[in-house]
Amino acid sequence: MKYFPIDIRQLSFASTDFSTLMQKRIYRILIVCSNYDFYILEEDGRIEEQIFNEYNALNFRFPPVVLHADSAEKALTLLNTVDIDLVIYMLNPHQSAADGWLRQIKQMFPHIPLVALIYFSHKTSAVIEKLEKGLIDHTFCWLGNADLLVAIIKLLEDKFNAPHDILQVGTQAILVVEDSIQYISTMLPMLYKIIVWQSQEMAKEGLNEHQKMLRLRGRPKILLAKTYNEAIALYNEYADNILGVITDVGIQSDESDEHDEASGLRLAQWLRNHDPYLPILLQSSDTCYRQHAVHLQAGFIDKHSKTLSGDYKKYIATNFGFGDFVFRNPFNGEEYARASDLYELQHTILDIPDDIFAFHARRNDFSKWLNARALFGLGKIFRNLKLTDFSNQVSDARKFVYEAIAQYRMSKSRGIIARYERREFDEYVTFSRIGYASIGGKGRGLAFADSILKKETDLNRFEHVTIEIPRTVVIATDVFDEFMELNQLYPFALSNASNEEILEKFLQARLPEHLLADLQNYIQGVNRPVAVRSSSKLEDSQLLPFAGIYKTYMIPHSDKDKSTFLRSLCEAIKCVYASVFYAETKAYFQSTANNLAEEKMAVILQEVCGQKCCNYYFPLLSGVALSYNFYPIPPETVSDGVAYIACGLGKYVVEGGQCCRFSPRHPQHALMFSSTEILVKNSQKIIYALSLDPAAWHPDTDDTINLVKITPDDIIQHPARSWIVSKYDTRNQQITDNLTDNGKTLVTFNGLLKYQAIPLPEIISSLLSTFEEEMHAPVEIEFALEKDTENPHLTHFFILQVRPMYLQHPFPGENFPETDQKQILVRSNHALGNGIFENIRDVIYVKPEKYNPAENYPIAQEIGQWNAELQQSATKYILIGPGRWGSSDPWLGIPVRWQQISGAQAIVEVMSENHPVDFSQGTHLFYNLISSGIAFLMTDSTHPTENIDYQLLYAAPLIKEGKYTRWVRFDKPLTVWVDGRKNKGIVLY
Amino acid sequence: MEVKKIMTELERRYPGEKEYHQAVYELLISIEEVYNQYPYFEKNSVIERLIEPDRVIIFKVPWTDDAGRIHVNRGFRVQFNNALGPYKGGLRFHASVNLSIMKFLAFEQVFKNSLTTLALGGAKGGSDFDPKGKSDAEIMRFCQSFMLGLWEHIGPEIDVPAGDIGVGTREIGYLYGMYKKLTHQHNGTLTGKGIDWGGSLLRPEATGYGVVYFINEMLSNLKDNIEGKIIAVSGFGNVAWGVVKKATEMGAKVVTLSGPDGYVYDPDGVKGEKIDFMLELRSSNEDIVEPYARRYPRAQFFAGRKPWEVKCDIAIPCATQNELDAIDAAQLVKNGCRCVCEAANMPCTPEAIDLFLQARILYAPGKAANAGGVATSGLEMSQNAMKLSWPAKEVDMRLHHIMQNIHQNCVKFGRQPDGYINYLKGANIAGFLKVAHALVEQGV
Repeated sequence: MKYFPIDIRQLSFASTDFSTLMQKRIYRILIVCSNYDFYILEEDGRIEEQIFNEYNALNFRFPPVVLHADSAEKALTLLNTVDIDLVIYMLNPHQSAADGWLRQIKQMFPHIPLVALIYFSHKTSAVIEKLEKGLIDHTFCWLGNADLLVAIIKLLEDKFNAPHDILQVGTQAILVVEDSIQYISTMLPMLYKIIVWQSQEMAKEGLNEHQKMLRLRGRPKILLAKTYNEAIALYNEYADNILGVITDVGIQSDESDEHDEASGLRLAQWLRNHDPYLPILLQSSDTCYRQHAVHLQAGFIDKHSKTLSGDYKKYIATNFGFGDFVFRNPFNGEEYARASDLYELQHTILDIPDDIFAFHARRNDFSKWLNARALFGLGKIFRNLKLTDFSNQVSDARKFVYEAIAQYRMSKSRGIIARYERREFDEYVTFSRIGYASIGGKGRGLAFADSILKKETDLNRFEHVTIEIPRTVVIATDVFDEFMELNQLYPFALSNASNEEILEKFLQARLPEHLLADLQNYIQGVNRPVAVRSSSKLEDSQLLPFAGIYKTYMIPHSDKDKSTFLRSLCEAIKCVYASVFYAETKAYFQSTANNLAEEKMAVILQEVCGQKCCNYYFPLLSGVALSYNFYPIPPETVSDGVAYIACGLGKYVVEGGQCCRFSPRHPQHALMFSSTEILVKNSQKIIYALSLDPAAWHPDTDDTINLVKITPDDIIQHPARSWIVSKYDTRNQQITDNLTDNGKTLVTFNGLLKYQAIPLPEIISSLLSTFEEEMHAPVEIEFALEKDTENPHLTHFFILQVRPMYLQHPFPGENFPETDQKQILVRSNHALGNGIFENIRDVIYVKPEKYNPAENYPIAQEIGQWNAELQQSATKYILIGPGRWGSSDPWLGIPVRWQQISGAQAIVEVMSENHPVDFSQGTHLFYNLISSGIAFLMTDSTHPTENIDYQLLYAAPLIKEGKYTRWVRFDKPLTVWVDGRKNKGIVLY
Repeated sequence: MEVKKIMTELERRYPGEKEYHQAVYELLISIEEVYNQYPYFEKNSVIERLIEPDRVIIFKVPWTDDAGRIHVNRGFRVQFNNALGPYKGGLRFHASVNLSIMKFLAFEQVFKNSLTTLALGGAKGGSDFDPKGKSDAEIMRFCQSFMLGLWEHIGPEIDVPAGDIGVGTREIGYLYGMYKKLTHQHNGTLTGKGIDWGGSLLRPEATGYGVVYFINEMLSNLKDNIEGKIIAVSGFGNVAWGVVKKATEMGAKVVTLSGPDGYVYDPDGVKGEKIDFMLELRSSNEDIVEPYARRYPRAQFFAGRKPWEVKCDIAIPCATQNELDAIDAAQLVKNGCRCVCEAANMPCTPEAIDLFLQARILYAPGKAANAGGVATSGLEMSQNAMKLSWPAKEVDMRLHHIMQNIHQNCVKFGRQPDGYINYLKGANIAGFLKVAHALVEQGV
């Protein structure tokens, strides 16, 4: 959709970094006055305490410390020894002129503002006139109100921070033009109270407590001008960020000038000429100027009004965009509707009549209101909105506003853990939390992924593909604590009760009421199945994978039967809680020396990616990508990474099902594509899907209770099938992408990997490098893909989990051990796999001197027999022989089947000048080898840095000897080291 | 014939080509007796002419990978002998391909093709290129470059390559596509083509069908036939599938299938949907047959055992080399098995074969019985020549006819004085004699 001059999809909203606001603050105030004057100032209590109370009442933080000096000398001493941010000098009419020492302060400390406080009296002007011009920054009347001190502090802080906060960040400002010291002293505290009230409104837009707190800093500022020229100068500097102007009718043109009764009117006229919609409030003690205000389309306030504070608030709220957005009838000004926050504005905008929308649009009311709430990104876009920019003016403009707000809310919610708010939970809240405590390992990983996606805008470069996390709500660990306490479950849970008994007990327990209310609200906004996933504190730690320990349940949604949906959801949450205390968890904790009683469980409610096909629900594909590929087939390299994808739910992948394995940098070189035979044998045969029949779900210790296994033939009607499946033409014995052909349906992913329907490999590759860089560690990413149901050109790539890559065996270290040559049994520069494999004593090797390729079959059988014997005692061994292991052609290598060598921990393939066979990568065997994590070392005896020590082998004690092979057992255990990153391997004796 | 002398000269001339030497040696040993019966073979130096390939073509195959890097492989085509017809034999793309292997395979092909009774010579070719891990585009570029080196030496009347290890329908497609561009001809050079552009139906089943036809001929020779016979089959791949289909169709009952995990015994026979289930087993990566017994509860699974312990009339090893040893052979003989027919390549060990021969049961060697695949290649050539595409029934009928001919030739040369047919001997001699005679008749 293209609206306005902007394509809505291209809208990007600059982030407002609230943490950089209000950097300059007043922390120490020095009040210079006599002890008597100080006592008067303190009459309501210690001045500091008064300020503290005012700060508290206004929700300001960092109340300043107040110091007192009763003489100029003491003042100077303090100024020289302590960092003072503000000097307040009590002007005493009975004191001789203080110009001298004031000048001294100004000269010595030009950066410290100097404010004069005077007592209100008819002698006030005279006192002030005596002072040298320019010495005092501001003068105020002390009327006994501590809130004036707060207002002074805030005014000065606003002045210090204005250039950065307003011009760099976008904070808004109210320009106040007033030259009456007495009046400004009354007015300023009122205005700041109104601003504080507005800042509470702004805080509502924060998605969590931290955001809310930070948003308080984005409150509008007050810029004070005393003269016409000063006002013009300030306006010119901050014009784009002025919310409105409050000006006295009579002000000085310049500081040296006389008070001009009409200067304020001239100012108002000048401002109106520049901005026909700028809110201007004129004030005067002479009510005859009210008519002038009407003429100027400005407001008017009687300075002597008995409801002055209320008058200000009313005008400001109505015209400066403070408070609720009130939709008014343009003809009679009556209120039609109101919106108290962005959420309500978005939803109300579609329902208001055209004329009301047009009325507010023309007056820039949307922009003003948004800016007043520190929603600067959006406010800036709407500022330039003109109805005439849209072809179908009101209708298109309304849609644009709605879509822009939606985009804004979506973009702002990304990368943030919002607090779950029942009223505001909708499709624009990506990640929210119920509870206050930890969101657990998985939750952290997801939140982190979301924050990175927000930060790395380069990831948006893939056309027609969005990269995002599914909408997620996390029930934090304190809710788990509450649940356990409420139902007194720990004693039973930690007992030796069976899993089923524990589950039964948990199902009978009650969830906290607030959680139930939140869940009741949650299901109203969900129209997909929900995955209920564990997210414990210890999960996804770098050292403890917890893979498969806890449970994930999938609950089908129901629009018609919400009560069943809710009940199933509650049951699933309890099932996840119960799984913390199952036998296998207890055993795992024991083995890892952790204390189960300290484990805390958060629960993730995550919308399941996918779409409905027949009566099943599943994603187009799920997968896992890893930073390192320890079994690279050239041209792949270790650091290219590797991805495993499967059609359907990701459970299939993480459980080690038959996936399509490829390197993201070389997708067309996937091993599976090498030959028809390999593809047919190794393609995915079953697909995990969620049954949408609610009756299929019931609470169980088995989290696959309502998952079904379907076949590739079952998905042949899927709209995106051409990306996923191909046909096996048995007549031609080849794979065809013509899906109308008869033949067996195979999952091949040809559409994605060969024909690049979307740049899936590039997306995976980009994500791996991005997250590696962010986490400073190799990573694993779980993901899923779905096509958009409404927009056929759009695809969603969902990140389901990001965690540091768990290495089954850690890297052996930077350098292999420096060892005596005599200890090296095998050295290889072409090793696959990774890790250290110790305590291996048995070696089966093919006798090199007897080797004859013509006898490869009997060799295979001999090896198979001994493999079977070793497997009976679960003894791992090293297998050594000439390549190619597992070759189907006996002339090309020893045609072992997997079952004949499955007990090997490491396989050494020897190439020699007599038998220059290339290495075995690419055979069927290779698949099993990869999934078993077996080390594979290839050694070329003609190569100077590779070798195999047959003397050592022959010297080892013999267990059995066959016609072609020998089985030996070393006295000392052997160690196999493989550095997966460098593809080097060594077997040490 | 002086075998030792011939071998010494061969080894001197071609040192290090062990596979080639081995193949020649095995042939010489098997035909020595009959050779010596024909003095004019010696006079015409048949052996010397036979064991030397007609032509060896070696060429470079430069190609560019997806990253733009240039690689250079070697291409081979050993046109060994075309006395009986245009050269015929597969192309193998594998890293281990070298001249010795090519010559050995081409040499064996001569006699295999001869046995089919079709007008086919023998050849083999390939390259040390390994298609595994290569993209479609890279394989296509390689095939195109390979054909650039080969095309001038092949043609429907000259040399007709086919697929082999590493050369499937995809590669044949790319090779043929390039050939057509170069020659501007669509003449059927290359077999193993896609059905829609010159390939023949029944190619996957052909070997298995051929085996069953051969067995039926063997039994017919004894005034019997395959109908009602109990058959034990090993393996469950393409060949076994074809065997089961045809045997069932002809009224026999196949009661076993096997895999590396053991065998299943189905007293009801493998038929109907169970044959289709074999396809499921084949496409599974697990390489096991046990799921068959789970799917069909009346069948039993025997872990780690071989099907040769089952009482049967006919045993057909379809799985792999050396899968049927002397112990298995003894068991079969003891159980009253009447016929053993090799569907795989050399599934019986020499000791097993000896036992069969001693026991005088019908034994058919693979080179004769499993010639169905090669025969279908020949039928594809025929269809291409006629610009026709035969229906499956027609192909099947012609295949049947070919197997009958093969059988007749084996009988002709394998009949012993006591009436026992030594098919092994018959096949060796039949294959050799046809080529040898042709060599003589065509002059030096």
